[in-house]
Amino acid sequence: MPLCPNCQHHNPVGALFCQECGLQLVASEATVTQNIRTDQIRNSVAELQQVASPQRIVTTTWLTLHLLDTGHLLPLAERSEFTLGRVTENQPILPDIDLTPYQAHAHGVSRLHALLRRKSENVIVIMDLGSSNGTYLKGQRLEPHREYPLSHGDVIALGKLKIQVLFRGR
Amino acid sequence: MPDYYELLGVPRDATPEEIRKAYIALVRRLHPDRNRYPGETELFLEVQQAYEVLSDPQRRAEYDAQLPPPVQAPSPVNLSTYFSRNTLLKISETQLLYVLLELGVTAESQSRALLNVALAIDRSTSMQGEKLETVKKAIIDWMDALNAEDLYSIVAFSDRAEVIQPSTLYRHAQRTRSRIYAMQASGGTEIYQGLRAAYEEVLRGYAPERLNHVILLTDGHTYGDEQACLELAEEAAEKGILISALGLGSDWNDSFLDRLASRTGGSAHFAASAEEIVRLLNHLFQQFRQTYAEDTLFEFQIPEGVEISYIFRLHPETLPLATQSPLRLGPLLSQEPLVWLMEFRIAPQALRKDHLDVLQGKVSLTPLGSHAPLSFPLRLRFPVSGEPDPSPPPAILVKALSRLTLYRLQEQAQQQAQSGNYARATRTLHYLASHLIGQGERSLARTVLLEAERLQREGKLSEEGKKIVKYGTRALVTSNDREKGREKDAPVS
Repeated sequence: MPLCPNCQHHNPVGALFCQECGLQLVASEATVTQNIRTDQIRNSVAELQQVASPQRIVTTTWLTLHLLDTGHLLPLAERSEFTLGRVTENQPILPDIDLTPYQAHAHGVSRLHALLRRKSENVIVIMDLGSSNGTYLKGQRLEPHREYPLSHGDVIALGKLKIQVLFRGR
Repeated sequence: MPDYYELLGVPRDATPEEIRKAYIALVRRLHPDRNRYPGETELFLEVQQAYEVLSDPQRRAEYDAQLPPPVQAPSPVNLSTYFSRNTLLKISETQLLYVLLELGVTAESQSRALLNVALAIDRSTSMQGEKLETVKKAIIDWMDALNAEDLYSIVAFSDRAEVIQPSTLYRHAQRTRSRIYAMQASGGTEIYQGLRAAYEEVLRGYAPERLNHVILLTDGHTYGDEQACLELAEEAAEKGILISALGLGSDWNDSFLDRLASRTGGSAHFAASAEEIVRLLNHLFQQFRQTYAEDTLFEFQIPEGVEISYIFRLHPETLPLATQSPLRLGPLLSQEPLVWLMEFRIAPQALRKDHLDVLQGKVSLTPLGSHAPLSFPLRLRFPVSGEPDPSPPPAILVKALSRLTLYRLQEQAQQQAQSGNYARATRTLHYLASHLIGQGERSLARTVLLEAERLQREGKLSEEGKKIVKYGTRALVTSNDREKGREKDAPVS
């Protein structure tokens, strides 16, 4: 029943990884990579492992970004708004989430590309921030600076960088 | 009131058969015609009495009722279970369930186990030249790591076997060294010959408190005697002797060596170069020394409609295991957990009641040098519900499965290639390569992509590439989180 967002394979109920392409189909309990920016990755991981119990992370995470090309999971928590992009030198405004480690440049991600906002418990929207290569939702290019509602499992693309959004506490 | 269970040396939940066996063993030793020490005849009578009570179900029940609860000593070993979800879903199609089991030693154990090891070395023609020379050197280096009380033996085989060093203690080793140096390559490969001779050597020195192990070192296929080898492995397993295998180079039969090792609970390894043999031998011996129990056994029953698609030992040595009970899990080390993962396929007809016992059974083991087996009864009961379980699966399970998925993709690609489905095999290899890149395993990913190209060009995978990918992904399954995890979290820019 669960359809793999990557290869469209129908997996049996209960599968955690796609049997065809190996994509992770569910988010796990404490995913401890709450990285906001590259340089903070190590610190935040170490901190989380020390301080936070798994349960706490689960309750504060409202969205997990699943990078389809690399299989990485980035949980978003605490704040209700995150900008996505990539960090370069001499850049006045930095994105909250730096996608450089996931080949953002090669995929055409702009420095300030898009914004994710949590409006209420189950309403999460995406907004393109006037990026050069555009933001796509289910294959449709979004008009810049307009909010579009997301649903669990949607695949968005920043340029060519495909990201699946996984809701928490559905 | 005497504790009859303690007297017979059986656990309180022992089966009638176990009680009978323990009784017979004791009676043989303590019978007034045969015993040697004062007081043993009295003991014999008490054992008689214990058996009379415990072998009669009604009297046993009465006795159990007045038996004080057992003194709860903290168990030296712990069994933990993790499930991919906490409920089964009432649906009309087959569903999957994952269970991860982890056995860990909690007690401090200082004992360093003594060895009783035989090396069976392939000296067939294909080993000629540098290969055999490196192996000889590796074995001689390795011998330095033996203790004075370790029993060891060395067998060389081609199409027949020759015992170079019969089972002996280390102190006579000088002569062995010259015999190893004199070893010449010739003849075909008949693994059974070598295995049998090595097995007999280990059997001669067999002692339950030692680590009784045959190590097979080969670079080739064996012809026609696979079945005999597997039967021998079965026999060895029953006697408490393990077989581990080291495959050298690219031409040996990996799935055969996997099966051979898994029958006994041993492990199978791949040495791409002769130099790696030294490293692998040392690694194996380090584990031997750390062994807490060698006879870890998993017995289980599953109900109709439930199928086990695979059982995979993840730690300390990764190996696909058989899916039948009883299952030998291999050695439990004192410092590292023994971890295995099971995938269940549950058909709708199994879900008739509001709960399902997916598996019932027990894990048992005897710590080395002890006579009291430890036993962990296991019942995996899941409620059947109309609503899916919303809680996410435990991280440890997802992590294990994510690594295992790479190994399974590799397996899938090989099967697809073998059945002539090149397009699908190539696609699977590409999936595998992108996962490997994502995990920072670039050189392994490159090998995978080269194999994918080769498959399209030549219509087959290379033997060497197959093994590098198989054992490369297998090594990822075991890789140490704490050490490697940190490297891999580093940015991949």
